[in-house]
Amino acid sequence: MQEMTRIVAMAIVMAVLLTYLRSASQGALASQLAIAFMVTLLLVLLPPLQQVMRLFVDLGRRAQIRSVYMAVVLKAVGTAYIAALGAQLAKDAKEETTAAVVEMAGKVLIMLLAVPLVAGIMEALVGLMP
Amino acid sequence: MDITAIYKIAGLGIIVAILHIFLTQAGRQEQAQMLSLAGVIIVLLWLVQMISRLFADVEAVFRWW
Repeated sequence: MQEMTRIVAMAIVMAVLLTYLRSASQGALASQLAIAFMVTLLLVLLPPLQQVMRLFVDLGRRAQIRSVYMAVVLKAVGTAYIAALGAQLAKDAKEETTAAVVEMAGKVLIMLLAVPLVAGIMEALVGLMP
Repeated sequence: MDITAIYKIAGLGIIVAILHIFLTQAGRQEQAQMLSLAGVIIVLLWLVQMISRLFADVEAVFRWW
């Protein structure tokens, strides 16, 4: 609750500062300030996220899911997190092409991560067949 | 919550914007452009460090442990 109040207060201050910088034709600096704000906020949000991730890993361990599969899920979440961050920042700087490329890269890398899972499914299917 | 970096960048941005206006009014367009470029590069140097820290932390969180 207290964290949220601080974050919202900072966001309001940032909005005013960004508006001023954009109106003073310092668009690049405004984008950089937005990036700095985003990076700081994500650094603040990482410890809670780490707790949630720890919970999921613990659940997976209790359900006796093979650690390879859990690792794939975690890596996919991390990749999606970073890709969304990069794409949003590029969109914010009005660089739609860069944003699209970053999103595409995220999709491709996540698909690459999922390859062992698909192979595992295929193997299981082949094993089921008489 | 470490917000000094953000306010550092915001302060530099405001100073650059004001000096830009002064230099433009004094008819020194090229120096004003150079000033803007210098500001962008300085902030970029700070940003690269922040982003590398963020990515290292993200990788640490999502690593299989």
